[in-house]
Amino acid sequence: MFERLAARLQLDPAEARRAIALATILFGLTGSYTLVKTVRDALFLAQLPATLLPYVFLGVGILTVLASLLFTRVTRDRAVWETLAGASLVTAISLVAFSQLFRLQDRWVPVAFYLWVNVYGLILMAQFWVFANDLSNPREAKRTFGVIGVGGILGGLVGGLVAAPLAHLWTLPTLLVVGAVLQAWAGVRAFQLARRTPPATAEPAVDEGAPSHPLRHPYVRFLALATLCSVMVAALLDYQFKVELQQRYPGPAQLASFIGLFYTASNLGALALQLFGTRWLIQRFGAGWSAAALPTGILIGTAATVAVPGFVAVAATRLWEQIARHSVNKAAGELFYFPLAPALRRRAKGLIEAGLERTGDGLAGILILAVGFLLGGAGTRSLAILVGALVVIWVLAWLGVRRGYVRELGLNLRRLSNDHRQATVSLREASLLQEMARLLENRFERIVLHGIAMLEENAPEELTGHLPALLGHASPRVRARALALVRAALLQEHRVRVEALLQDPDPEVRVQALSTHGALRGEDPVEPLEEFIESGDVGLRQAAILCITEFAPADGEPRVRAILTRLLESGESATRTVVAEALGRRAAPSRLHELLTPLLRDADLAVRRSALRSAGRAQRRSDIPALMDALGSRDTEAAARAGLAGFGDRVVGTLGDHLGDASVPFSLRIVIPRVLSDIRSQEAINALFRYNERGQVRLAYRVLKAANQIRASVSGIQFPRRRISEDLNYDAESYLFALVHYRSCPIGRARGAERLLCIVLNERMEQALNRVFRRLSLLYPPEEMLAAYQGIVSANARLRGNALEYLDNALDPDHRALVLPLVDDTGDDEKLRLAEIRYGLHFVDYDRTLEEILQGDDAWLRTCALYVAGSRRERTLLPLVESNLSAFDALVRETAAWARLSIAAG
Amino acid sequence: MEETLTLMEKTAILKSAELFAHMPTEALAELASRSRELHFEAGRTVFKEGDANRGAFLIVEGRVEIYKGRALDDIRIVGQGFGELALGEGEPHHFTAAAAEHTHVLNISNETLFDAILDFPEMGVAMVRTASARLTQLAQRVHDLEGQIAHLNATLQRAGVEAPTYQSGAYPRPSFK
Repeated sequence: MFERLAARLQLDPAEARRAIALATILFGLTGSYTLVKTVRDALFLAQLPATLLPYVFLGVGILTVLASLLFTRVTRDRAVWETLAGASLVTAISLVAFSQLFRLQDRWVPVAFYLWVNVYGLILMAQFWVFANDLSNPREAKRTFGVIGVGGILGGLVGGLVAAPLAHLWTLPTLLVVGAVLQAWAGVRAFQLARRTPPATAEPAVDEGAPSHPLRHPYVRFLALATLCSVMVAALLDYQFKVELQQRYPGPAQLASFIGLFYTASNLGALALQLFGTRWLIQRFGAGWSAAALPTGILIGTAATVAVPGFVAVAATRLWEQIARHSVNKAAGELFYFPLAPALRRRAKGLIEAGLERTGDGLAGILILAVGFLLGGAGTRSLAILVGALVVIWVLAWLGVRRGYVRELGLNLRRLSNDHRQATVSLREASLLQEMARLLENRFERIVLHGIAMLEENAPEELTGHLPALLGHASPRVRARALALVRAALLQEHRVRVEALLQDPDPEVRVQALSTHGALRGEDPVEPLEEFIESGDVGLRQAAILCITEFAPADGEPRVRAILTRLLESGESATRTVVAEALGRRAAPSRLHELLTPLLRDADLAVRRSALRSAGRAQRRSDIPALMDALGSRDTEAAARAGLAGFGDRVVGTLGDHLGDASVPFSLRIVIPRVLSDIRSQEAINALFRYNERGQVRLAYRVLKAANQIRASVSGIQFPRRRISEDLNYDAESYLFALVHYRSCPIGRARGAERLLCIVLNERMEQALNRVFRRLSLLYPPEEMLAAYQGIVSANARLRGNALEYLDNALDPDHRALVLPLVDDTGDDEKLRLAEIRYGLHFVDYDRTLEEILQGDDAWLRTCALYVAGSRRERTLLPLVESNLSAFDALVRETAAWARLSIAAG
Repeated sequence: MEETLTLMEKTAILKSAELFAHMPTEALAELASRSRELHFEAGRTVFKEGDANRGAFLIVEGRVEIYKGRALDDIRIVGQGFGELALGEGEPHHFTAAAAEHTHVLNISNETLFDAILDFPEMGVAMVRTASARLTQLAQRVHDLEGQIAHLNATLQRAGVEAPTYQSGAYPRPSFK
């Protein structure tokens, strides 16, 4: 029975149980509140004039702010359920007390009661929804808040329905005892539910970086403004309605009857909208657009009131306001709080619902008094114009909320993913720079060198002030490094210090000093360095070779070339390696780079690697074939990659051609995307998108990964939206294809061919989903998309719910339609139905599955299917096995040959 | 010994091993293509403590005993690997592995394994998990042994016998023969 109800509500049993329990609590709260409100309004209007209401509104505003502050302070360290249950019980007791106070027949009692009802009603409702939020996630909320809302509306309906007959049967104060009983019952139910259900929250308790006051958060400010306008509008409409009502019905019993009838009608309307419209509206248009229904209707009603002032227009507008506020607006409005971090959410909700809402009442009271003062009476038409103006501000604030909603969802998702690897920290932050500079004062040489490297990379200008100390550092390596910095920046102010270092006891420092001295004076550095070329000290010789090659003037190149040629002919691989490195330091174009070409194919691996790296700086197009050859070899891949990346856009065309050419060895093609990602340019992206062999899953994945890396590191790159959408469609089809066949394929024995195919199909689903999100991150914010992917594959329901909600709101309609059905909580059966409808994919039998895979474009899946065909000796598959004998992929061909032999032997 | 397994069979075997379970099958096929099949008769040594590192071994069929000195440290069965954690370059094997019965293994060199880890970081994670699980097992064994020793010492004390003191390295285990 319960399972059937859950299935009917499209909820899983646990969700349904929680939703129904929450709905019963809300039923008790609103049932009691409606009953009490009826008594409140009837007793007030029967004993006091409606024109007193603006003052009461003002009192309510002030009192609620004070009560909220007190309430927050008292309940600060309490769990939400404790607060809700406790407040319910206190309220129940207070209602019994007021039922006795009404016997006094004093005029202050209805006023005090009006104030108290408004204050407690607001606090209790706010607490209830915080409690409901704590037990849900946004995705679940979209499904369950409608059901919970029904409980509230039914409570209001029952409260309204019983108010009128009970008012005739008993005295009005006696009704308060009934309200107290309902209220206490709701408190007990909250206690029971909290004991049974731990909060679903997996969110961190501390909000890192959250503003200290909720209103400092722009999104909360828009929410607050929208709520304030909404409450002011409600109060103005309430006032208009009650003034009209008092003129029409003078007696308390008549008033109670009509008010009871009105609440019944409004709750019936809300129930109908909640049952048949709310969920559909929110799921179809999202929370943002659904929340627009209330102000739109009020605007129309207000226009009617301006045109034809009177009871009918006012009552109709108020009726719509009550219907929409307690159904669609409530469910949609609650969703707006989900993107906020938990502590901020709680503070913002407390501030807005318990504080601002009644401040809005107070402000409405002031507005009514001001209009009355200025116009000599607050007439229905003038108030309607005021309502219209407030609705316009409300709509503007709502637009701000709508815009912020997607952004906040993304931020929340990233925070929930808690992926600190994604945190970007500016290393130029003042405190970090100070820390780096402090490293320079360390007594350990390696730490100082590390500090220099960090500052050089992040804030080179910071180094200048430290150079005098570094030039006099105890470590020769630090002094040599400081000299290189002086030389690189040609800092003439250090000339005297550099000259002093020409006599340094350390030979390498002397070499660096000579080179720097020459550079500062604009002299030929070759001659003084030549003597060190023959040094027995390897470090010294190496420094001299590097200095000469890098800094020799153009007219000194023949002499340097002669020196380098002599060194290369010496036959020592260590020397050749240094020469190759030195040539990479020489700025292009230079004739010296001709010496690199033979080194690119040197017999010694270290020499080759060094030359390949240097070739990137030399920029000689004639060296590209050697670089491409080296790229295909594991030993030289990294060096060739660095060398090719050095060519930048000049080599992108060649790389793109090789990437797209199926006759190029796979071992070479698979590395090319990484080179293109190192080049990081629009041209590199264009080359990557020229590749379109979707069946080569591994290579296609590398291409996509390279595009992601460029997207993450360079801004302003344009990605081809249409092509990405086509690829997304392909990935969605691949996912569903794998799902259709995975769901029905036999598990087979361990290590068996069938088991392997099953595993591969499952892998293909995971890979297709991963590709979907990688592609989306090319068009949408990449960090949010990564967080969404992590949420989707997570077992954490809250994280998953947030991810789905983000995708639902962030994706364009065409991408949403393509992606959401793959990841939503609809279950595999719904996905299989989608596969059939969208792509005509369905499972017939295992042989048919093998046939479809063997005819597909996924080479690895075909290989696995051939392995199954061979293992099972499936004669019927022989023609398809043979058709794979001429496949382009070597592994497919080999496995097809094996399968044919196996089938023939069987 | 001749190769008896097809590439796809090797891939399926690798995928069934805990060490490689998190690696994409396509990558395992590549690893499989660079693996070697070896057969050992009962009692034959796969490698000795101190031998040059020969990489990772995965048992396809049979059983392998792992010795530290003369002491039997562990027994590895079908689907389990050994030798894979001795990854230091040029580092010798720290234990001896011998076939307890006719054993068929797949051998993957360290270089191939390193390449695979660089290409597929998931494999590195899987190896860390395996190492961590073994460390936990070892820690439990040490804990149990300490408990046994404490119990024995207490029994000896109650019997009026002074418990012997043990110094690390004072009682070297005899080498494997």
